[in-house]
Amino acid sequence: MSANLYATKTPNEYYHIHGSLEASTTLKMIGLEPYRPDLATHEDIVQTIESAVKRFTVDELEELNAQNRQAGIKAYTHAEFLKTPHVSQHLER
Amino acid sequence: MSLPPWSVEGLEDKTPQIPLQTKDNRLLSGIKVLELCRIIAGPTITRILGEYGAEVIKVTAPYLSDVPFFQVDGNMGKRATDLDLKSAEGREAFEKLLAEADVVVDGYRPGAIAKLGYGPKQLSELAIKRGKGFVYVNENCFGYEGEWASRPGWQQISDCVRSPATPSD
Repeated sequence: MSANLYATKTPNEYYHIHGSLEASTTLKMIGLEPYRPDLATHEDIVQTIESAVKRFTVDELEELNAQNRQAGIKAYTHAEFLKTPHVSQHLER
Repeated sequence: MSLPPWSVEGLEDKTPQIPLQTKDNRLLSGIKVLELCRIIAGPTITRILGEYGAEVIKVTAPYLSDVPFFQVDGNMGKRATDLDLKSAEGREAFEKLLAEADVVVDGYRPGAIAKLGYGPKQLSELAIKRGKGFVYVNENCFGYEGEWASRPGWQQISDCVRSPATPSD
């Protein structure tokens, strides 16, 4: 669940956090404990993680991500993706 | 957007142009593949090569983890070896395998395997020394140009960026 799409502080902006092969770094980065044996249901886990992600904007998550070398990313619409510098840098070739 | 899903580049032109030698009727029989990959994408590539008859050795690192439940399905038909490429013994064993390999598949981020001395430029130099070229394959999340090219990523990350993974779509 540390690799999933969650709502952020900004309405309609979503971020995919990615815990990669060990979830502790990503979870700690958003202020959560790596182990929560008290969380019993899928809904509880989603609630806990999403409330944590919602404390941050996409830009803040990107900065945390880069600092902690995690693989997460903002969820773009296809139209937004086509406008990113990454795409135009490919089209320039 | 009309970028092809893969591109082919010549790395050197000093070694003789010879076809890969196959042993029997299967497309890739006798072709030796070294896999330096984890998780799903890279291992699937070499699994397919193995299904066409190639001999695949998957090289894992003792200090790098992988996802246990992907191993049984993802590594069908392969042999595996665990080598520490930061140690002298590990490198010696790896270089023996490399000396006989035809194809090297690298699923790590661009530059990662080069730091260990086995990237495409170094393989080209080795190819010239041994008189036989290598086929070097690299696959990654964001492509090889643009500002995100060295960003880490997995398949869901790629989906999120291109969409339609977004809830609003």
